[in-house]
Amino acid sequence: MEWSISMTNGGKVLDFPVSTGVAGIYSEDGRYFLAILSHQIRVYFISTRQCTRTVDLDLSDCVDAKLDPSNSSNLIVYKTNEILKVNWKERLVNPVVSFGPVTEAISVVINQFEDGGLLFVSGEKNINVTYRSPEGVISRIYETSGVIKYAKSLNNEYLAILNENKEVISISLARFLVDPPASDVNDLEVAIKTFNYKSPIISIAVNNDNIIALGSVAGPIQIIFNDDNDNEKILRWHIGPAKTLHFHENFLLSGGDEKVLVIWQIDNDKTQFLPRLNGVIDKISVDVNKPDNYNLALNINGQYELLVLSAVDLVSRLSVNSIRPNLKRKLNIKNSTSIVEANPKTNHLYLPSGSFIQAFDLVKNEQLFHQTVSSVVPTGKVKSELKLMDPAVSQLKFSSDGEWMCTLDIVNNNEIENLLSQDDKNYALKFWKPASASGWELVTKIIDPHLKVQVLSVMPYQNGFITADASANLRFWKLRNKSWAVVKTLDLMKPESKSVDLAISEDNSVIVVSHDNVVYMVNSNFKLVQPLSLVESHIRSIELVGTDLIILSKTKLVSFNLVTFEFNSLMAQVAVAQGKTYLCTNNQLVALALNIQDSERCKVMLFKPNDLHPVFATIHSTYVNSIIPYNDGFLFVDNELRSGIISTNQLRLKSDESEINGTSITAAAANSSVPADEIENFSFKTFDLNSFNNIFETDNLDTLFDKIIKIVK
Amino acid sequence: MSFVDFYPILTLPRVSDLPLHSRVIVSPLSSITETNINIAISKSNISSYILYPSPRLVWSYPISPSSVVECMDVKDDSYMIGITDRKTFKLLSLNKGSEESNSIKLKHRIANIKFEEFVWVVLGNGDVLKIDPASLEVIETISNDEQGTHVFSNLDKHILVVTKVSDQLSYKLIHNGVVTHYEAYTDSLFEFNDKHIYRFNKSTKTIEKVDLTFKVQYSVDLSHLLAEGPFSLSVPSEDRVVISDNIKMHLVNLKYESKLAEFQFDDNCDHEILTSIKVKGNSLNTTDTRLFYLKLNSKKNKLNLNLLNLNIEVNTLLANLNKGFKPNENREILQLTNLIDEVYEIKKDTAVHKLVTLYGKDLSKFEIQAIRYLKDQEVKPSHYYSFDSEDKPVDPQAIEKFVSLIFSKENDTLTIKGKVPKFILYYLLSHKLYPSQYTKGLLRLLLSTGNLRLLKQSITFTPGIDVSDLVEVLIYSDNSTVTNDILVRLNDYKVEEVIEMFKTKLSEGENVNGLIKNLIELNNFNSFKLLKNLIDLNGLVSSMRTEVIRKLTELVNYKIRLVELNSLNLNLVNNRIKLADTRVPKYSFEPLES
Repeated sequence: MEWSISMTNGGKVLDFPVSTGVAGIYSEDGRYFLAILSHQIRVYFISTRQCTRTVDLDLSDCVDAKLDPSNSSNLIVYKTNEILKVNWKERLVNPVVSFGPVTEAISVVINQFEDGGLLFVSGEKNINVTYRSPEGVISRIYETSGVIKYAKSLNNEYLAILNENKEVISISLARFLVDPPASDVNDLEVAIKTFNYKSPIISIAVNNDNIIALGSVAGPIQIIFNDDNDNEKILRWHIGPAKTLHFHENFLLSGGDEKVLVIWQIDNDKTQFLPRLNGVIDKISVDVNKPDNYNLALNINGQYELLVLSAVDLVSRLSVNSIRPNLKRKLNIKNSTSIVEANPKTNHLYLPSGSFIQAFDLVKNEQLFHQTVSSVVPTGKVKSELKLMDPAVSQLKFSSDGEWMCTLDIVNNNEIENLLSQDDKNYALKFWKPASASGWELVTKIIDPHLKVQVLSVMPYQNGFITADASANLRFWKLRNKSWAVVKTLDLMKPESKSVDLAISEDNSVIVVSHDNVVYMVNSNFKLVQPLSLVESHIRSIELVGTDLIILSKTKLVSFNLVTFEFNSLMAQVAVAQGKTYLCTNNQLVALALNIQDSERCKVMLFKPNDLHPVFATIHSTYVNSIIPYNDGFLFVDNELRSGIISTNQLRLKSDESEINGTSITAAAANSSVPADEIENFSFKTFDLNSFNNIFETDNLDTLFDKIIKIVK
Repeated sequence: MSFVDFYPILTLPRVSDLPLHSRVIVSPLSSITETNINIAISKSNISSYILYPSPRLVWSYPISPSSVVECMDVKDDSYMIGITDRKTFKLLSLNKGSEESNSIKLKHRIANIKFEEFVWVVLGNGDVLKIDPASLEVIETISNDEQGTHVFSNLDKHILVVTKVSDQLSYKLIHNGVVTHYEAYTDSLFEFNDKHIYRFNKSTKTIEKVDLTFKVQYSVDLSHLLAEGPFSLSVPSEDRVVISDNIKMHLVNLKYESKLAEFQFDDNCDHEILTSIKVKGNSLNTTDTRLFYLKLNSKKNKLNLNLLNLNIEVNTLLANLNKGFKPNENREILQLTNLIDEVYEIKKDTAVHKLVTLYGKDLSKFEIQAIRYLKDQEVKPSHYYSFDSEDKPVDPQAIEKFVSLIFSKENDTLTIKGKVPKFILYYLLSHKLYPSQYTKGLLRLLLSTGNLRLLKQSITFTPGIDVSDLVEVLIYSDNSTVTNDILVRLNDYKVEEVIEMFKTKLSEGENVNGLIKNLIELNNFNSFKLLKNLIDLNGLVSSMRTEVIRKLTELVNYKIRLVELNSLNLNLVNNRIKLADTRVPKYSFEPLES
């Protein structure tokens, strides 16, 4: 049986490390938007909001991108070690047209010249403004150190650099844009401006008239006008950091943690607001080819959404999303485990992250919807508001028919009051039914379903759900009179542990709950049948495949037959020093994703429950953070936010074949002496390959159909 | 127990020259609630018995002493019986309670009868006749060229004919007159249930479940379950079969390959399963069934028809847990491969085998090497090591092997073989994979060796220690550290379970006065927790010694004084806080509804 992995989406929406632009470029005519994802360029036709084509290539270390001025159907992608020219317009076998090496690490590209020359900035703290001629001759234009932030104007003429001495260095590059080789470096117009406001600056923008805006951590934005007196002005609205600034005509756009896009009219200080965006505004940019659109990079729990707004009416024109699993971006991304579930009815992926649930359509490769599990403040949070914790979804499961969704969220008590209870957590178990095409409707909410003990596992069972808590206590929830209620419980009352998991046999007769290193078998009346100590270390997850119990512990993978009570030969070591390991099963196979710490890769393996020799094994290029059964195969999500489907064509073929073999009843009907109308009632009329052997012996095609009908009848 | 009880229905009259299966025909019962059973006894009579309250004859119709009953089917109170009388063959039609009978002569032996709207008869030559039940006229003949028809059934408008030609069985499916042939099998038994054929091959001892298209759904090898033949088979419910060999009757679930129950036959008797009541067996209400079998005592020439009540269990994993046919040979101890490697070989762990041989030769060397093997690191000699989760992951059978070297187990009593290898035992007792079959009586054994260190290790760490053992040692031990360890360990068990055990022990005449004294002296949370529960036990206070009660009173008084003092302090502190705290909340907020 041949198994293979196919990566199904383009990875995460990129965030350029230094450049103030978002990872999206407009085509020359402004009709297409090229979104740059970590492994894909997605071309959107803006007026229909549809992705018209994709180009797959590894762009994870891309620092900037420009449209090729010599050929607008090419996109030039600047990576840390090479420059690629990618044809996005035509369907080419190899879309990467040409590429060259990088002599110096590029941070921001100021201008790409038609002849191949390049004006760019390298470095982050000690920066160089450099011109590279088409022949590759490097000439330094400007050098400085101690840089905090820098930005260029939309027409590329000005570069504003903020340094640690609280100075803004303004460089005019206008002459270099016209004829770089002829320009003399010594003629560079450099102006050093100082400003008064003392709060640390975190963002900077400069417009085509060399007006500079500085965003502070405290919120106020300082404008330094380009006149003789270096007039200043302070714009106050933000109470959190003004994370990003961008000039557009005579407007200044700013955004930050408040999730509000603020549009300032510089002349008269009038403001306009677009509140309640999906995420924290990390970047705002405007493209030269489509100056009437604002492009925003919204940070939703560490992952980005690209939002395109019309500057005229502030209506969303397009939004580009990747799957957003719950990865702890700032902590240790390598050890993050995400929750991914596939709705068994629609096959859409559901990814909870924080208090949000994202539903993603893998076929269209687009986000279906994005909803919260509880009413959270839709505005962004700043300062002490950050202490108000939103509930975080820790469990999400679907009933086997896909008609119900069960989520568990954890609410940290808010610590504003400094009460004794401030460290308490509340748990909310919620049952949802599909409301409309987009979203689910809450039917029942149960606060603290297991009192103060955390629920660690939820599983669909019969037509309800079972929850298991840290003490291995079980509750069975069922729909009663239009709301969900607990109908059966079993209190094992073990000491609280983080390693608790549930597995349920296909016929629902056995519920297995694991606690530390012991598994407890429970019958459908919620009576403990038998505890079993099968592994020596904490159990990470358990699964049931037919009669085999698969246990993944900290150190081992074992398969135990529950009928014979013997171990199967699938018993192997999973070294402690390796990264996290994930286990899942469908009704035939066991899938294991084993992160390898040394190489930052992941070994993905498929096993039969009673065989140590894997059916399939491969090394995936990055860490995997979850694996689930999907269709007849499996699906995993990696740290680049790609989803990979492990599938086989053979599986389906095989079942077809067995059906044919199984029903190969010889159609001896024709020769019997029974009246013809009785034969028609013969419900067992099926054929094998030999039935149609004779019909091909004639070369008269006209009668072929009649002959087939004769046999079939 | 799945075989509930059995009792004889009747003792059959002695007749000679007939094989066991020709002596009596029991008409299949359609449901468990039926109280009547119809029996046709060759050379004797056709009779109807009531089964409850005790088997009793209600009606009988005599047949000639030369008539051998071949087959019978009963619909309501009408009987259709196939009879061979020397060289003549006839179909006999009877009505219950009536002396009248009707019969037609047929050219061949009647192999089987199915009595439905029409009477379907399969003859010994393979012909199938459709007969009108009232007039006994043959409406239709479906001829069949193979001889010696063996059985037939009517399955959902399909007629299955199994013919026997020189020891080979071949199958035909007849549906609306269309005959479909299937491959032939030798030497098989078969039964039908719910559109499936269960086919048992006597020589290979395998049983197959076959659907009506003759697709084999599964094949189960019963060779290590079954003794020698003769075999007989009945299928009371889907996937569950009762199969008998010459010594036992086995109730087997074929889907899970498990043995649900067995029924031992009497010695020196021949047995044969006749039929069983077919039940759905998919819920607890539909698992009770009855099975009829013959028991022949050749010495006494006594043939009994017995009834056996049995429960076939639900066809779920739960009913089959730990009931699989276990292969006889022990599995090899395996060396675990690391999944990160590219090698997936099933390797025998030779290190364990070497250690096992070393055990007999040099005990102290064995201890060091075994600990080194299990800890997977260098170890100091004569040093106690406990299990921790960083230790080498091993095949659970390796631990079991080591433990079995140290202990021997006979009739549930553990003994230590020879000298106590205390270092390795100290380690093994703490291992999470310590085999559960060596836990019963372990604490008592360790207590008797006088090695407190091992006892405490076992109390603290050994998984699966029975609560009765803990309670027993708690009552006997006068060592306060052991008592304390047990109290800590008892937290792993449910309070009800512990109390229940104390109740049992007290009813067995154990005295807990010493224990209570110990508990009071221990004076910690765990001891009071148990003490409280012990006092709650009915009638215990009255059996306490006055000395113990006095101590208890002293203690309670002391604790009450403490509580009073604490509450006073708390009040003072509270008042102080109330005076000091005049803060108001900085601001309040209301979440906006989205």
